Amino acid sequence: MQETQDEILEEVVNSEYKYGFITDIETDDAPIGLTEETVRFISAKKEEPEWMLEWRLKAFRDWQKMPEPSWANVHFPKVDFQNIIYYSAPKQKVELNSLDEVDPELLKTFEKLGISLDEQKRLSNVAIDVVFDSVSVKTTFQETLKEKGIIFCSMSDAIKEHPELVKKYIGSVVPKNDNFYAALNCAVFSDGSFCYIPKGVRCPMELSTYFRINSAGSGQFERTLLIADEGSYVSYLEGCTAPQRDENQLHAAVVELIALDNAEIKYSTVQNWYPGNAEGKGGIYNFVTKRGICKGNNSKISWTQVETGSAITWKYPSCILAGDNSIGEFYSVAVTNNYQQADTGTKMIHIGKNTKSRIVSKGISAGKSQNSYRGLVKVHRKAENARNFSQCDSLLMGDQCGAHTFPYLEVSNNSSKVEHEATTSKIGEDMLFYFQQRGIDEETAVAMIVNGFCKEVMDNLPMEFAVEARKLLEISLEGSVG
Amino acid sequence: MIKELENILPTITDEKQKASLQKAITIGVPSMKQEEWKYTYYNKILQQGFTTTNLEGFKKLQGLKIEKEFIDANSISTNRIVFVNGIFHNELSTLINHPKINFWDSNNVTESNTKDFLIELNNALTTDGVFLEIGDNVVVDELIEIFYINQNCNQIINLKNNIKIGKNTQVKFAEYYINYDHSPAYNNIVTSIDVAESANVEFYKVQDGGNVLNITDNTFVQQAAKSICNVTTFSLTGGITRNVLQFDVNGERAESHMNGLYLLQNEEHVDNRTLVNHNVANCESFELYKGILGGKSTGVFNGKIVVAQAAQKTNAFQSNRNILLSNDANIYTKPQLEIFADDVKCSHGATTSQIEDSELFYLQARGIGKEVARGLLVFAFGEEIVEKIKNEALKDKLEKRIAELLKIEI
Repeated sequence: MQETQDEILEEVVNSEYKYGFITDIETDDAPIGLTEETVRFISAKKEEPEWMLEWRLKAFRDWQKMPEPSWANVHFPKVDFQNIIYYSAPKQKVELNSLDEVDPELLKTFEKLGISLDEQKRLSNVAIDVVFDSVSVKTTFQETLKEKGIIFCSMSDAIKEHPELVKKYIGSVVPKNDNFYAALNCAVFSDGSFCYIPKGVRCPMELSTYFRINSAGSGQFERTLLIADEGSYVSYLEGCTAPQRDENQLHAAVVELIALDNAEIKYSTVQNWYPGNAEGKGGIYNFVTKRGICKGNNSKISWTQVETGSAITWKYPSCILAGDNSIGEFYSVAVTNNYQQADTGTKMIHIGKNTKSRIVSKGISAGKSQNSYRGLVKVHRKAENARNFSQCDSLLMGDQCGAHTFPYLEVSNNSSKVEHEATTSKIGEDMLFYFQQRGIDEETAVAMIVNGFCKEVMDNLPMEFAVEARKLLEISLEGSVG
Repeated sequence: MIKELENILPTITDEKQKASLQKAITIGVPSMKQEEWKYTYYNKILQQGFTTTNLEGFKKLQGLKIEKEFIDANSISTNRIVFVNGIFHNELSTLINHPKINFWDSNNVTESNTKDFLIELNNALTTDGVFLEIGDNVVVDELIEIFYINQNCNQIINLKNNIKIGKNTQVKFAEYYINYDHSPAYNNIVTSIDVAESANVEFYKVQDGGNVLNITDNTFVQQAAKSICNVTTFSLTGGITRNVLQFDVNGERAESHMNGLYLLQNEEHVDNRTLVNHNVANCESFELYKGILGGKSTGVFNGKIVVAQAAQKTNAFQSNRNILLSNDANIYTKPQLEIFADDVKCSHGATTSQIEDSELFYLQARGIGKEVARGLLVFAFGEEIVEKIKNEALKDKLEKRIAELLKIEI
């Protein structure tokens, strides 16, 4: 038994990153390094208005004064921020009307990823704002969305076309000096998605962005701003794969969600960036600030994430529950293998009355990886009848990995109820035996147990993602038993 | 504070103490910017005007009189070790006479190499402490009581205890903090307990010194194979109290128990930090801390379980449950697991809630007034910890005291 386990482990550990390939496209890069000039260069390149440049410069100056955070339970060589290309865009920047006009190299890439645009368009009813490196190349389904009054475009277009909305909401959830990486993002963000759902509109389709990091040495600084006006509903998908690279790439994104009265936002992520090879070489550094605010009464924000990639993940999608009766949810599966390190979790800040939050976090560590859950539940003094339930379970595979939990519970209201529970265990021999007794081989048994372990989270993913997420889980873990 | 320490640095003669003091000066006073001190404002203790002096200056303070009756009234055993203002008090103490039990006239100073200000400060300026060695195969039936009596002392009292328990030995300790004349006091105490193979040690800490007594306590337990050790901490009244409890489990099949009850009704601040290091396989640890927070009190709980890679088949369970009685009370809890071994069963849980209305209603429907009903429910909540005490006299004493604090009759 031990032997087969080892074999399976070996096999899993050695399976190469499936989505590793590099596309050859000429890029229009910013000079290496970060100075005020770089910020001006990016802003000029994007033909931004003066106020945007000012905002970027302010963030840049704040960033310069900030120390790099070191509290997370991850270890990595110091990032040289002066050795990064902060802007790279595909050269071809002509306005495109149909897919035929898109660079064929690009289309090939998408095909390899299984997201050929027209196929997606026809079959899955998904509007995709494709972000290839840093500039949105093609936005589909714009027309359909326009009818409903939904604005779904790239950040740079939004700055030009809807400055009043951008001005009002950008930085309102994640202030430009919120933290080191958020400030960096504010200063140099290249592009991203902007979405506005007007009052009472139920977005008819799942909105989706497909991120891909491509150019060597270019940090990707995405920025997403999503506003759900009163009584609206939107489900947003974010998914990532990246080609194999030897050097570490930095990704510091910022996502801001705003839900007004009675609005609901569902934000789902599948992250499968290059995690580095079996020796822990290479891989993406993923330092993301994601935060949503339930500004209005009865609003709801729900984060669902499946994290399987990146060498280092450093990510805490949070909810500020400011409106009365608002609801925050966080469902997460974080899988680490080889030398991956993940420090992820959430923050639920209860401010309004009768606010509710629910946290379900499942961590799976294999190989020599370290997987941490770090979460904060804070109940303010005035958050009467606040209710929180958190559950974080860890599954360990192999005796070289680690699982850690750092939950912070801060309660200042005596009518609130806060519960937290966590367990750590491995796949029991008795469980495996049960399966094998019934003629199911070990590998399938493990896949089924892992799937069962994560089911609560997977069930919260939209259909389109659930399939991909399950596949990802199988690729990264199937069969590895400790 | 640091300046004071710098001033007394030249007067210290012992090399080890000097090194510790130097270290304390370098480390500096804990600040809320440090993760371990996130919720506790240490300077608030110092702001009450405590000073430090070297041992010579300290001895001049002595000569105060405490009646024997006072100890008799507070004691439930005949084995007593009494410290008054940080100095061993011979007349008030009664020591066990047993060939295998040795009390040493102590100078407990050791080479200390920590990064902790309080531990270094304690080592540098320690005045006295329990230095006790109990041999193999001894069963001490009666509780050994340790009293820290404070009487009009504006000095920081540093006591350092070193307790060694032999193989197969069974012993129970209880320590009490007493504030004799209710003047502000601050005790900084470091205790290390070494538990040999198959020994069984119970250690009860009773912190009930009134609201101007501040305590910073560091307790370290080393456990050998097959030993059982239980440390239970009761924080009932006090100013700022910080308890650091660390278990290092170094022998297989050892069992560690950590329990705590903090019942706070005024403006107390209690910070409990526990750490269990599971270094070897096949061990178990159980931890249960319960808190009742009323008034403007603050409770902090930080429980950490570290399971090393070698510690396969570890079972570690941790639970922290809190009741908030008032809207001005705060609870900050952080149960933490760090696990590097895969064949383990570890869990932790934390809850914060209040008294159930339905439970209150049940009692009220039976003719019990609301206040009393609330008191009964809180008492029952705390009783889970109290009933773990394996000494009847101490259990009775604590039950009575808790009932008195909750203004109920039992």
